[in-house]
This record gives sequence, structure tokens and C-alpha cells, in this order.
Amino acid sequence: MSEADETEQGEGHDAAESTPMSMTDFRESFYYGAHADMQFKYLAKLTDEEAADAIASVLATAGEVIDTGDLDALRTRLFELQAAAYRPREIVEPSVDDAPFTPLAGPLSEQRLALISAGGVFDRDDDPMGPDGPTQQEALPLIKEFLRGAPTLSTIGVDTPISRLTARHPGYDARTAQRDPETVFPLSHLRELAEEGRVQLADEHYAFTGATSQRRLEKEVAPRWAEHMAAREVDAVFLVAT
Amino acid sequence: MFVTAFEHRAIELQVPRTLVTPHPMGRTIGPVGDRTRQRQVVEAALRLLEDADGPTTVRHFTPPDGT
Repeated sequence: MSEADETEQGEGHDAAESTPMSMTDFRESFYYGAHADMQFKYLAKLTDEEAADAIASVLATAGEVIDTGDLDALRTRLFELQAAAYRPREIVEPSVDDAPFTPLAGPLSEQRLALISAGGVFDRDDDPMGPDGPTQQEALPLIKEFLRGAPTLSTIGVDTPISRLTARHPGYDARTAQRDPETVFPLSHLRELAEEGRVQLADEHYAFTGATSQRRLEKEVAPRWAEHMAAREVDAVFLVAT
Repeated sequence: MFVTAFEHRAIELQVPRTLVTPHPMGRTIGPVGDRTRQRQVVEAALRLLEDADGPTTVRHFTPPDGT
């Protein structure tokens, strides 16, 4: 018997005395439960069989990646599973009455662009929840409070170093944006394009936490933000969802 | 213009211009540290801003060959 087998037997004895976790409990625990993981919270939406197949396919792909080093294969598998989990099961109908469209007023190179991210990005020196704001992990149990509250718009100056940015968001795993804010807030790329003369940038760019009261966002807050940006002669916005 | 990995949200909200990217949640513009992919997505979004000629235009990001 190997050392690993002995360990498994010993742990199995303890586990037999506790309540077994069902597959339903397990997949639902990813949604703000014991295994809370914003990257895989969609497991709670699946059936037990779908969740089992999803987990098995990720493990199979991960096993191959160990040998091939092809991390893109794992990324693709994860995206496919995510897309399937969130794909509406019925035909999607518009939830708003109109479909506005404003043509560009001139060449792109003459348009003043503002970046807006729903990824909860902010300047470390200007935390929208104050200097003692919660960490990403501390924010997760606060999801209901976030969803009831009005969003705060963080203003980020056009010249802000990317290294000064961080993120917090109880609806997705913002540790990704903490590692690289440009996964959801591509400010330095836009600066490069502006330097090349492809577009103009506003002095201010913005971010908020998309996990918020959608009604307040639509009816109260977003119109004020639009007025704020129009007053700064913003011609178009680059809006990034998470 | 709107960049998202979830096309159905753009349909619900009737967003004027939407670029759908094939990235896992929280990496809408591209993977951590992958400046090449991030730049491609930003450029594709700006092309969409420039090219779209009517409401609810949805375009799916396709990486250039070899990247």
C-alpha cells in the first residue's frame, strides 16, 4: 500500500462520521458557499449531471495541459463551459424599449473617448469604499449589500500609472484585475493609440462595481454619469463588462 | 461601444455597438499579461465604433491568424 493510499484510508474514516456532501450541495457551494469561487459559480446553475461533466472535462483538459503546456486549450475549455452555462435557455428579448444609435460625428482620430469599466477598478489612493474598504475576499459575503446599493463612479486620471490601480467586485474574481487591471480596464493600450493619433482621450476615465442595483443604475445614476461626461466633451465611451 | 463576453446582455439592453470576446469572466479584454491580445481587442472595439452603421450592431472578436 502506498503512502497516498494510507492517507486516503485514514481520511475516509473521518469523513464517514460527517454528513456526506451531495453533488447538488457541492455544485451549489461554488455560489457564495463553502467553495465560493466567482470563476465557477455557474456550477450552481447546472444540473448535477452537467456539473459533473463540466468538472470532468476541466480535469481532463488540465491533465493534457501538464504534458502539452498548451494553456490556451484550458482557457478555451473554460470559456466554452462558461458560455454554455450562461447561455439563455429561451430566446432573449430586449428589456428596454428603444435602440439608440448615434453615428460618429467625424473621423475616429478626432473623437474624444472615455473608458468606463464595470470591473470595480479604482486607484489605490482613492478607494470608493474608503481607506478601510474590504478586500476582495471580504467583499464576497457583502454581495447582497452591493446589489441593493447605488454604484459609485471611480474617476481615474488619464495619466494614472496602471501599477496604481486595483479592483474589488463581489460578482467576479477581481483577483485577476488585481494582477493585471488591463484585463478589464485597458487604459495604457488606449494611451498608446492616442499617442499614435488614432483617437483622442478624455482627461478622466471611470470604473464602478457592476454588481449593484440595476434599477438605480439605469434610472438614476447612469443618466447623471452621462451628463458628467457630456459636460467634459466626451464623444464616445469604451464600456467594458466583466 | 460595449465589450463583453456575454452576448445576450447586449441583446437585452439593445446596446448600439457590441464586441463579444471569447474570454473567461473577468478577462474581457484578454488574459493577464497578454498585451498582444489586449491590444487586438481594443483595436477591434475602436474599429467597431468607427464601422457600425446601425443600432444593435454585434461583432464577435476573432484573433488574427497566428496569435
